[in-house]
Amino acid sequence: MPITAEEAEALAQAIGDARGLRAGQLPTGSQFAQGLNGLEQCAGFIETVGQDRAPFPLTKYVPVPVVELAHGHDR
Amino acid sequence: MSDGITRGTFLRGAAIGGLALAGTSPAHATRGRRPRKPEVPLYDLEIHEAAELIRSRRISCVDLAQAVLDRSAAVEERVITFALAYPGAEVLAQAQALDRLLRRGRYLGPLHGIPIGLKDIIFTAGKPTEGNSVVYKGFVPGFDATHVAALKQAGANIVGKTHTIELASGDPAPTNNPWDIARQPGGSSSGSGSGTAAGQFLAGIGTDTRGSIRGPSANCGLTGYRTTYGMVSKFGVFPLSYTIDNVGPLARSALDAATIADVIGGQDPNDPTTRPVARYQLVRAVRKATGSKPLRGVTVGVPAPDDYFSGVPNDDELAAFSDAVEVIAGLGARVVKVTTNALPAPFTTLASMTTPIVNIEVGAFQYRNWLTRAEDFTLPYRRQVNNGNLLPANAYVQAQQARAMWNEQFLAMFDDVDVFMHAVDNIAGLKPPGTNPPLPRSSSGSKSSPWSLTGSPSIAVPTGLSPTEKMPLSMLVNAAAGDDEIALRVVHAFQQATTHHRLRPEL
Repeated sequence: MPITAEEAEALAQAIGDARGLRAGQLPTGSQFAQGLNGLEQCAGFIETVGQDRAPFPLTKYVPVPVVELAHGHDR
Repeated sequence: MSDGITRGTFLRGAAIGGLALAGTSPAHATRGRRPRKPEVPLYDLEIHEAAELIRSRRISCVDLAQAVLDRSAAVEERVITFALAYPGAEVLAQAQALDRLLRRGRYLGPLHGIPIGLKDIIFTAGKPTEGNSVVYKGFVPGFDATHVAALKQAGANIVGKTHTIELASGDPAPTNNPWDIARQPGGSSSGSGSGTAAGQFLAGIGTDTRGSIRGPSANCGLTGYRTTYGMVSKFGVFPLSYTIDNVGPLARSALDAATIADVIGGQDPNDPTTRPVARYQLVRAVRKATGSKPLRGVTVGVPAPDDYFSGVPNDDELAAFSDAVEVIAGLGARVVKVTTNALPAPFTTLASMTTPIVNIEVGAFQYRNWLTRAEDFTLPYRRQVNNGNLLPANAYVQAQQARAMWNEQFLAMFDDVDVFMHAVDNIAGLKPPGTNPPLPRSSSGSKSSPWSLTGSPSIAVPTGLSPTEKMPLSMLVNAAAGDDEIALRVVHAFQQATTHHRLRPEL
């Protein structure tokens, strides 16, 4: 789900509070949202590209569900 | 030409010493001949035309300098090109020095005595470089930008620093469009565009991150050349986004643009992003476009219907582009429709890459100023710096990685075509408080930023005037990075066959 401008503005404000920034140092909600949603789109695009066409190693780890072995199972 | 004499006729006449030139003294302009009524103002010449007149001593460097100074005196109040116009006495003294060299037999090349304007984010030794920013008010660099030093060495006569949108990405410049002073000139290289179009110098130097050479060139009826990334050194230029920024000319023809690029291009140890090429020889390549079918063997791509690049909401631009394609085909080029891969899923906008890259790079550049005096930047610029300093690091890394992969997919089109050209929506909008029915027109080029991300040569080319507004129309001619020669060759051939680039505003 894309982040909304309102959500991004609240996040920017929280970061600003934590870093002691002034109001004049904060981006608008829509600008910050564009950057954060851009990050999502870039990450999504990178996932569509195979290693053979990537200019850097696309090391991936895809977690698999852990299956509990049946109690008393004989290995 | 007001009386039907063509520019070609003028030049042939001038070359044999038979024609007087506006803005010249008879002693300089008509050696051994009776002065005639001025035909072509010197300030309206293309560089290669003026260079031939200077080289052959038909005019002096002082003649040309005086012509542009007089022109500026007449139009500057309306156009507002200069952030800093160099004093007339200084410009004339430089011209006199260049004339002395000529008298001693030293001709420095095709920029000898040519008046040039520099965007005011370009460092000039001993001259203020303020970038239309309060933060840099009074800043006087101690050295010339590398490309400025090259221009001076080649004999260019720098006539002033031109207005810019604040640091290439903030509040607009005060500049007006010479074609209609109620309209925007485009930006961010606003004054370099307006001054070239108005005849205040023969070419301007600008910078282009997302379209800041091509936008004002299109708005002002010029040939604007974004060179291949790394062709021209950025050392001594206020950066916006150093992995995208580009230095290049706003000129009156492809030949002029190539002439300047040959001088300012080349590897610079002070800019590690420059390509390992000592000198470029673009003019030589461009001049190969001769004969009735100069583009035979060249494949030109144009957008297929519904392609990303076909979506220009302006019928005038589309009609002019269609005419231009016909001309290109008539010159022997094979024209093919191309469906580009400009916006692959899941992208909804290419700003997803450009915004993090530009904002974070400018945020990094301005970090110290941002900490201490962010409020001194205008709001449009400051918000980008703010954004860049708050976005997470992976926004930048992912954007650059995505950019590299997107480039490879997008540029695959050049496996099949030599250049790709498309229309842009660049009819200059009205300045506030004017309104722009029916379209909210931008001040700089639509669809120009993809070519910034690729680092491609991308050239704004005049395609005529809009029938209703009488404002310049434009298209972009693009190629793969490093293929500047073929892009310039196509534009030069087009300009040999058309006169759009010779239109000048009436001021």
